[in-house]
Amino acid sequence: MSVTSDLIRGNTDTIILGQLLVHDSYGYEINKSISNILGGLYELKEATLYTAFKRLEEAGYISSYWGDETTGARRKYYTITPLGRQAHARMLEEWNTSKEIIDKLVNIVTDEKGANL
Amino acid sequence: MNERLKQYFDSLFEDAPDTKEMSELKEEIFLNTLDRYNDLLSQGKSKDASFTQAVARIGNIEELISLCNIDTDRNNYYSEETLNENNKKRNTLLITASVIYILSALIPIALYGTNVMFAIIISIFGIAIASGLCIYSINLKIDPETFSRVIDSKKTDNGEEYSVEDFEKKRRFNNIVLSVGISLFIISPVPFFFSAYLHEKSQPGAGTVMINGNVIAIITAIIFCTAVAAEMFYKVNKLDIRRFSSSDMVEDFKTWNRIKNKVSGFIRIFDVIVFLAAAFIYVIGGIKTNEWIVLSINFLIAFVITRIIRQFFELAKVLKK
Repeated sequence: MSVTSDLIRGNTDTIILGQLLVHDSYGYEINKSISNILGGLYELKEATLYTAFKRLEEAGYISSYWGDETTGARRKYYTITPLGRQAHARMLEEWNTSKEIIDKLVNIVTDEKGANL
Repeated sequence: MNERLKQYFDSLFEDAPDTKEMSELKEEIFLNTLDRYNDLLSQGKSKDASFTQAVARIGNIEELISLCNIDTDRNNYYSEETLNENNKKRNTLLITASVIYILSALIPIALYGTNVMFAIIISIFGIAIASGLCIYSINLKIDPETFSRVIDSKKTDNGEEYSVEDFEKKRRFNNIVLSVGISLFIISPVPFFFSAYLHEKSQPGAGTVMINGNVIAIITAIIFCTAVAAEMFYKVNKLDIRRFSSSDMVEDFKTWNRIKNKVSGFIRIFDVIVFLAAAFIYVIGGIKTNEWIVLSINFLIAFVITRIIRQFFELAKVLKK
């Protein structure tokens, strides 16, 4: 699982941008949604999340605003910018290419093992 | 219970600098933690259990605070853009100066011909200084990937790490050594010419050959050492950030992809044309004048010209924006 969690951490930006593509959201909601998708197998640390927010905001991929929920709780919402949409598309493409390549590399290793045995 | 969380956050952010950014961050994390706390309560957990669990998920807040400090640091002073912007101006100036210098260094040869040793020696010195200058200015530019890696490694905040200032200092030093080394490399044949000039014969004495050999060996060693040191320096930083090789590979691949896309095919065509022209002039000129050594300067000039073309395109890109 350590490899998985590392890969997740390595793609935090893509994951967050993907979440924001659906709708504007705030920190806790995003974190909860990620935990739900993963079924509690892996939890993003708050520090990682806020670090990513800062980085993405600096890059101009997301912007934030303070909003009021119907319940009355003040929340800092994040919204994806057009630049962020582009970035997400690019990151997704990069990830897909990487995935293919690693898939190939990993399969070579198992093939060779099989041949040796 | 709200109060208990509030107090906890106040103590958490006790050492944080009193900035608007920091108070916003504090409020944001506080509100999100409150959400989590209320969620846990509604799941039927006790107040104490909810508090402990919600607080445990905050993680290393000190790290985040120090990260914000670095960020403001970076914004004010060490922004990658400002660094590159400052360097870009200097870069363009230095490259222009060094090209003019290289061209003017050839004037003595043009005036007196290659049979006057004095002219050749002056030219070699000129070219050496100019190419040193050129290499220095080319290396002034920061690779954004490396820069962000250094910034990231500062974030991890464990063990011995380099600050951005250290990084800049180290880079400058390496750059200077490299430039001076290459200048010395180019100057190193001077004793050959000088001895030939003194003895008025085309073959230099054994002594000068030995001195030359030693000089070249020492310079090579210096350049090699700095190159290895620089490589190790980057490696240390890289390992600090990406601990798992699989993720490292993905990152490296991403970097490679980005760099590959950066240099467009258009500019590459220019490179090829310039180098072909240089090779052409070298061969034709060499056959005609038999001055192969002097003509090899052609390739240096070609290299400089390709750099200038690249610079020009980058400038055009910036202006377009």
